[in-house]
Amino acid sequence: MEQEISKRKRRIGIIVNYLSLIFIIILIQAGKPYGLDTALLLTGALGALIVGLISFISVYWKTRLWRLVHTSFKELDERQIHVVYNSIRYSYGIFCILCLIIIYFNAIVEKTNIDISTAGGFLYLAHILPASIIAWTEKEVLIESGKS
Amino acid sequence: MELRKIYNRVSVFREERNISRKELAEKIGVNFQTIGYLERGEFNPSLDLALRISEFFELPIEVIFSSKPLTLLSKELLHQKTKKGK
Repeated sequence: MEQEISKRKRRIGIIVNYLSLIFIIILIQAGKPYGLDTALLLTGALGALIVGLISFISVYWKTRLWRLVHTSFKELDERQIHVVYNSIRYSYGIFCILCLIIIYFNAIVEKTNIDISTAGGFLYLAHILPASIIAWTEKEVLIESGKS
Repeated sequence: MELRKIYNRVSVFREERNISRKELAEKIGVNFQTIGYLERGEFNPSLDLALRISEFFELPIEVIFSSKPLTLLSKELLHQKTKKGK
């Protein structure tokens, strides 16, 4: 039995997912120099992680969008190939722009290293961007139960 | 090259044969959501897909697809009947 997940719900889920990622990165970045209480830091990060996980599951996992963008083109039909190709095209542009912003920002403030939280954030972003674009733009996205 | 809207009667012929989108999708080898997009005119099929649909319904491709808005089948049948009657 398939249920449609509305565009509004998907977009909210995407925003929540990205905000939780940004919150985790900020917590880790701000925790060290400002000497925040470790327990508070961990609680905050864990909370954000749980929220991020729930939003990931509802927007990308249950909708099978995560699987769609990671499936070989041989297993997709022509419309799916077109959708995935477009999402990868836009993802490439967005990801490059973000990388360049970080690189130039680091160059301007003369910061020579990128910490593990930022690197981890970019790794997650690289994997999630194509699915985000599809979830944001597609007219019809269904939550399927069982095998498709 | 600007993409034109392709009109189709896929939903008409599918319902005539009492088959679901999922069944049709399985027969022609696409995802069932693609059938939905196709029927709503939100996706233009490739020649291969259009031919597969035509072969499945055992109808000429021009009966199923058109670059111009399709007239109602009932009106076309009536028109043909009237023509034969003359």
